[in-house]
Amino acid sequence: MAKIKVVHYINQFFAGIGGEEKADIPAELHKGEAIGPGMAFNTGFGDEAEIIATIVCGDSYFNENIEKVKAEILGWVKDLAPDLFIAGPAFNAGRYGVACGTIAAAVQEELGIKSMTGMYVENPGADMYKDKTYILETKDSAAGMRDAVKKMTAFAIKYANGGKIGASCEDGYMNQGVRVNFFEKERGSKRAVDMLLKKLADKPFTTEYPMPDFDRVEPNPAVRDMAHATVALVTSGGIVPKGNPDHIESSSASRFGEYSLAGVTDLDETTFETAHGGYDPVYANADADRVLPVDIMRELEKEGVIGKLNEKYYATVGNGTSVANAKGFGAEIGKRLKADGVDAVILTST
Amino acid sequence: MSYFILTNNPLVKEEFGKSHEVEFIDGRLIDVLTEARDKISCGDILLSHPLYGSVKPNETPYRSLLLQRGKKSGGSDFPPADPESVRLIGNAVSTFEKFIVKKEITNPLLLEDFQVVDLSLLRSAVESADR
Amino acid sequence: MRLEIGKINITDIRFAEKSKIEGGVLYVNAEDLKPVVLEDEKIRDVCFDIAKPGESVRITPVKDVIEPRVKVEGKGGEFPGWVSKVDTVGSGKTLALKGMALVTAGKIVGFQDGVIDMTGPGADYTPFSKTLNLVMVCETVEGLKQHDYEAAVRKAGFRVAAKLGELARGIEPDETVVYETCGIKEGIEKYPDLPRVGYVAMLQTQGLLHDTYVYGVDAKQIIPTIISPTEAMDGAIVSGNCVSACDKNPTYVHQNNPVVEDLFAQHGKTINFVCEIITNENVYLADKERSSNMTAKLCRMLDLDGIILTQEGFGNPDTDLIMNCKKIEAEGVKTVIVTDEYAGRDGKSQSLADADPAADAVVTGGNANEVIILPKLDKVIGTLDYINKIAGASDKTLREDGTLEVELQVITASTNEMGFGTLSAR
Repeated sequence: MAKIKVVHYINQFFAGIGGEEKADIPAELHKGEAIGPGMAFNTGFGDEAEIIATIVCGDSYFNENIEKVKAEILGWVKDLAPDLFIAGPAFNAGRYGVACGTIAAAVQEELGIKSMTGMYVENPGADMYKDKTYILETKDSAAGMRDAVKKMTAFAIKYANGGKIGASCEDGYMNQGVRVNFFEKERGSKRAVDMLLKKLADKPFTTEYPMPDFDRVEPNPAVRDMAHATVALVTSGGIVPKGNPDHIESSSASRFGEYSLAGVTDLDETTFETAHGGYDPVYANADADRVLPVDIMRELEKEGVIGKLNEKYYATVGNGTSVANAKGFGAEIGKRLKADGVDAVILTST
Repeated sequence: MSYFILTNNPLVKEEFGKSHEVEFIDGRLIDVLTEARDKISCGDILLSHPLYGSVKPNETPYRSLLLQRGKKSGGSDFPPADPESVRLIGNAVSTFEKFIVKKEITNPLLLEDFQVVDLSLLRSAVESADR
Repeated sequence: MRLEIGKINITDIRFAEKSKIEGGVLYVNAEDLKPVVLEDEKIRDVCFDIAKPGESVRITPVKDVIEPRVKVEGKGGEFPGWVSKVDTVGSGKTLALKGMALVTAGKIVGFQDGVIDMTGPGADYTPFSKTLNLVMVCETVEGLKQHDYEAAVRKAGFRVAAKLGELARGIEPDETVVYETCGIKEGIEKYPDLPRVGYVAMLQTQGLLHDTYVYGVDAKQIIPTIISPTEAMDGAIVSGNCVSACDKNPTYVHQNNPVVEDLFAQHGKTINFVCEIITNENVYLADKERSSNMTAKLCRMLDLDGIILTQEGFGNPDTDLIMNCKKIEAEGVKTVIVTDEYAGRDGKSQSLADADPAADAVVTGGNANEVIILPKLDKVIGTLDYINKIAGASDKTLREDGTLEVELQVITASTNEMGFGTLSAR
C-alpha cells in the first residue's frame, strides 16, 4: 500500500531557526524534508506514512500577514496534494497555536484536505479552532513532545486511512461541540455510582454532558425616573450608516461600530442599512428603524417619556460572532456608555 | 381555577368545548406553540408543559396546552410576562425546530390515534387543574 | 428489608407438549398460556413465538419486556395490584428466570415504536438481543378503544409472566443474591461513617401510553414516596409506557433496576444505600413543582448525603429532572443524574429541553437522534406495517432494498435513562 503523504507546518522555533528574534521570517517551503518534530513523526509513522514537505513560518509573520501567508501556504499545499496536513504541536505557545489552528482549518475547509493539529487545552488557538479541525490535546510545554507525537501519530494514521473517528474522549481530540455516541466499558448506572462516590468524596469528576454555558446577568434595578433618563440604543442587528464605513463583517464580526444620531429622527433607506448576513435584509434595509427604533425613541423624547436619546449608538453583527468577541464588545461599549452618562440601554437583536 | 385550552386537536374541542373555554387553532403543532408564545409574551401563563408526551413533536400533528390569562398590573397595556412560561415555551419551540418535520399525515385512523393520545395527555393536566 | 433473588439460568426456550423447566431449558406449551391471555374477553387471539440471540429476527412494535419471576417465600406475590393482592412485597425469597424475557408485541396505536433486532448492528444497541425471548402477540376484539387495548395487553403480559414464573417453583436456583437495606436507626448504627445514599426514580406518568403503575396505582396520582429498592424486584412498579422505545423503562428494567443493583454493590462498603424514592413526571406544571418539592424534602428528612436521579422519556421529563436536581442539590444533597440526549441527527442541537448549572454531574445514555441503518432480517415477529410511523423513522425509513434507516430512538432501551446500557456520548 502506498504511504500516506503528509505535509507538516511548524514555526521558526521548532524548525531550529531561532526564537522571538526570528519570529518575523516569512513562510518557506521545504520539499522532501522533515524538520524538527517532523522527524519524530516520520519515525512514528514507520512504513505507513511520511512527511513529503515541511512549511516553516515565523509566528509574528503569520499573525501579522494572515491573509497573504494563508493564500501562499494553501497554494503550496494544493500543489503537493497530501492525504493529510499536520500543524504543530504548539503546546502552550499562543501565537503558534493560533497559526496552527488557522492554517489547519483553512486547509480542511478550502482544500478539502484532512487536517489536524495538537496543542495544550488552554492555548487560545484551541477554543478558536477546535470545532474546525481535529485538535489533539498535548501537555503545556515541549517537554511533552514525545507524548504528543505518539498521540498525533496514531490519530493521523487512523484518520488518513479513513478510519471511523470516535467520540472525543475515545480518540483524544478536543470536543468539537458535536455529540458523538460510543459504547463505554461500564454501563450507565455503574458510571453514575462511580461519579457519585467521587462527588461525595469531593474528588474531581467529569460530567458526561456539560450543561450549556449559563452566563446569567442579574438585571439592574429599574430606572425610577425615565423622564430624565438618557437612553442609548445598542444593537446586534447590524444597523450601520449606509456603506458600512467600519466594514463590520456580515458574520463572525470582529468589531463593533460607534455612530452618531445627532439630528437623526428617522432612519431610511438612503442613510442606514444592515450589515447582518443572517437574516433577510429587505425589511431592515427599507426601514432600519425596524431594528434600531430611532423614530420611536425620538417620539418618546418629544413626549417627555424619556429624558433624551443618547447621541451615539453602537452596532455589531450577532451572526456566528464568537462569545469571546461579543463579551469584549459588550465590555467596551459599556465603558463608553458609562462615560457618556447613559442611564439605560435598549438592546435590540434581529 | 380559570384557565383556557389552546389546541389544534378537534377531539379536545369536542371533549372539552362545552365544559371549558377552548381556543381552537386550525393549524399545525408549531402554530399552537407560536400562538402560545405570543400569548405568553402578552402575559398569559402556562399551566401545562408544552413538551408533554414522548410522541416526538415531528410525529404527532397535535398540541394542546392549558393557559391562564395574565392579570394586568400598573399602567402597562399588558400584564408582565411570566419568566418561567417564557422559558418553557421558548425551549419547546427550539426543541420542535431540531426535529425534522415529516410528511403530513392523512391516514384518518392514524390521526385518530394521535388525537386520542393527545387528549389523554391533556386530560391528565385538566384533571389536575380542576381538582 | 431483605430479599433473596434465586437465579435460574435459562439456556434455551423450546415449544413442547408439557410446559416445564428442566436442565436450564424452558419448555413451553403455548396452549397452556393461551387461556391465561384469553381470560380477558377483550383479547380475541394470541400467538407465541421464540427469538434467540444471533437469529435473523426482528421483533416490532414492542410494547413491554418482562422477566418471569415467582415469589416462594415472604409476603405477597408477583405484580402486586395486578396478578397478586396488594401485600407489600420486597422481602423473603423470589426466583427469577435469568437470560430470558417475555416480550409483548403488536400494534396498539398506529405510531407505536419499539424494535428488537436479534442480530446485526441494531442488536448492539438493545439489551434484549442478548436474552432468549418468548414473544407474545395479542389480537384484540374489533372496535376496542385504544385505552382498553393498551390495558388488556399490558395486563395479559403480567399474567403470562407470572404463569411462566410458576414453572420455577421448587427448582434449585443456580445462584442466590441477597439484597438487604436497614431501617433508618439501624443503618446509622451499623454504618456510622458511610455516606447515606438514596435513589430517586422518576416514573413516566402523563396519560395513555405514558403511564407507570405502583402496586396497581396510576403513579401520576401519587405524592413522591419512599419504597424499599427490593419492592420493584417483585414487580411493584410496572410499565404502561409504549412510546419512546429508546428511553422508556420496560417492566424488566424496573425488576432489574441497574442503579439499584450497582448501589447495592457498594452498600456497606463505600455507602449506606438507604432507600428508593419514587416520583412522577406529570403534564401539569403545578404537579411538577409539588412533586419536586416533595422529593427534595424527603432527601433532606432522610439526611441523605447523595442521590442518583434517573428519568424516563423525552421533553417534558427534562423539566422534572432539572427541578428535582436543583431542589435536591439546594438541600445540600449531592446529585448525579442519568439521562439521554436529543442532540439532533448531526449531534449539534441542545441535548436537553431544560438545563441548570446545578446539574454538574450527568451520565448520558447517548444521542437518541443518531441515525442507524438496520439490515433486512429474515423474519419479523409482529409487523413492519407501522415502521414508517414510529418515533425516529420517516417516509424514507423502509428502503427499497429492505433495509431500515432509523434513529436510535426506535430501538428498545437503546439510550435507557436508568443506565441499563453502555451507550454514551461526548
